[in-house]
Amino acid sequence: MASRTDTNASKLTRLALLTALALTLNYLEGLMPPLFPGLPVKLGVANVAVLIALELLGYRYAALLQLTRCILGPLIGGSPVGALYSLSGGALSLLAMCALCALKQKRSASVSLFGVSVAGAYFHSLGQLLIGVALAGPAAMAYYTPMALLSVPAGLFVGLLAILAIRIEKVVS
Amino acid sequence: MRSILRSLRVGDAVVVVLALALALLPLFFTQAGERPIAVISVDGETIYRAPLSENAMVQAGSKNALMIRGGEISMIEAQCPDGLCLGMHAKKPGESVICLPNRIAAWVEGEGELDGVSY
Repeated sequence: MASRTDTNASKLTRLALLTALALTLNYLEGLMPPLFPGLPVKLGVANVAVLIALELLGYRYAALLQLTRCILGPLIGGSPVGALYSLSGGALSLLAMCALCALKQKRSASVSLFGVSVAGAYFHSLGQLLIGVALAGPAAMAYYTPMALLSVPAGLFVGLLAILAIRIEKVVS
Repeated sequence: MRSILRSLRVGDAVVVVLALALALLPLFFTQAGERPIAVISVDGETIYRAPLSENAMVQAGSKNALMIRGGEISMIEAQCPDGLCLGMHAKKPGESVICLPNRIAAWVEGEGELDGVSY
């Protein structure tokens, strides 16, 4: 893949591909039956695309991807109000992931995409819950502990997928 | 697969432990305080629900006003034929202040000494 002399055009093209990937994963996941009936949680596989963008393209591209997917995802899924939830979750999770990625680049031995992904998953849940509390009242906090607990295995799994995807891409190109 | 496991870092463990700790944090707080709660309802519908320790003035319907102060609920204003409720106080879980003509009820919820109360 990409040499160090990446042009903007090639980055932009890959950003577009990753956005399409994120939206597709998001949509497919929406078709699946709920993992835990009664609990508004998803695996969050679309975050694979954001992790790949963070790793290969940088913060700005990852932020653009996150913004696009948080607005378009709920629209495709048919729930415009969902955009509020996903924007809030997406913003918090992006901030957390960028912070950890900065740490990762500074001292590469300190944290891997696993940690970045788990932090992203946790803060995504938190951001959505904040909107839930704002719209539905404090009772929504009842979801906090199960959602936050589940964000750990979900984040680890999504991180694993991202690491695998990045390896495969490096081998292929 | 082994090489992927080798990409795990100390920071990953820190993140996981932090997330788990933050997830379990609220449990410690809610278990510590089984504090009594003041509930006020009009016509069977709950209009107010908050810890008894919070002072508040609550307008219930158009004819009554209740005060929650010093861990006690009392009716401070009532336009009803008898005015019975004006002398009522609710302090402990299970106790209530009721204005029957205007269908207003206020009571204290929480861990009390009584298992149940029948009226």
